Amino acid sequence: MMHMDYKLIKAMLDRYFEGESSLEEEAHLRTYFGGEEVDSRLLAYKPLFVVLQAEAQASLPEAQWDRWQPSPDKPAARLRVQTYHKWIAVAASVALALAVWRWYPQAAPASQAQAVAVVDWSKYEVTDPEEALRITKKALGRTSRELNRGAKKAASEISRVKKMAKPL
Amino acid sequence: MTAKDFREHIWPYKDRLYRFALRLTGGDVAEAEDVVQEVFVKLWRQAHALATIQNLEAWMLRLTRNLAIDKQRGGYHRRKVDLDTAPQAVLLSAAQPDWHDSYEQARVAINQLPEALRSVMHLRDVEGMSYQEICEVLDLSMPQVKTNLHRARQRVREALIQHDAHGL
Repeated sequence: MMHMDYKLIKAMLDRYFEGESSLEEEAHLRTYFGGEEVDSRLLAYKPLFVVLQAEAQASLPEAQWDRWQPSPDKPAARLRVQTYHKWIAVAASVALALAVWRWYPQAAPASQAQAVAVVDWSKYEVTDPEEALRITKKALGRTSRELNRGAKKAASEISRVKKMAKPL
Repeated sequence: MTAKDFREHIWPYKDRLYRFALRLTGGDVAEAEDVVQEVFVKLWRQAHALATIQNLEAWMLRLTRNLAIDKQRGGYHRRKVDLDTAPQAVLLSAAQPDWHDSYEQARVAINQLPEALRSVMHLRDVEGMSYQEICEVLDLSMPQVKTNLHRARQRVREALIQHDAHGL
């Protein structure tokens, strides 16, 4: 009898783990594993069905209703909490805006003072024509090098994009 | 809808919502209660529109799931391991010290499933819902539900066998 039960239950269990069992078969498995006489070869699966059955009995205490009982005159407690959250967010935004506004007028005069500071450029003026020619040549040379470097970089990028766009 | 109607027609779903919230919050009673409370507050706010919802139970379970997932992601109470992305081996080894017995181990194995698998297994094995009903709650196709259920049960089976093989 136990052997027959084992074969039957094992087949049902295999279908269960394959996700192919029916609701009736699953109920049968819960009943079998919830009982005292479980074949020793199937004992490893007993905890699963016992736990599932126990979890199906969990319930929310009735007292929860009193905790937040809704009515048109008295909205649920959580509604008020959420309203407070909204006002806290608004207050935080206003505080942040005030802080930025307060900081900005102090910072602005400093930057304006820097902008209007008079620079005496005359002391940097080059008076020697040879020195002026040397500085100009140096500046033009640097500009030329940068332009060449930019052109090379652009050419290499175009070539890379072309390779990427090439069909496999 | 009056508070009396609400209590008569909506409140009776509380246990099913609570169990689903418990599953999704990893058994955190306080957080699950909060989730259910939020669900009912939202329902109360939309009480005038509830009559237009075709499958109210599926809609409420979906709302419960969304809120529970939001809470988990937001880390309202404490930061938890992201069960959806963490490697399974890490999760199992990290949880082993808490496995007091095989029943606890079965519970841990279910709670460590990725959310998509956990939800399907819960709705089927704890709530005894049909595949069609699960499709409506989770907004999944029938093959997706069957695949997720198969994967969930296989993973739990592996955990049970592994535990049994170690003679724990």
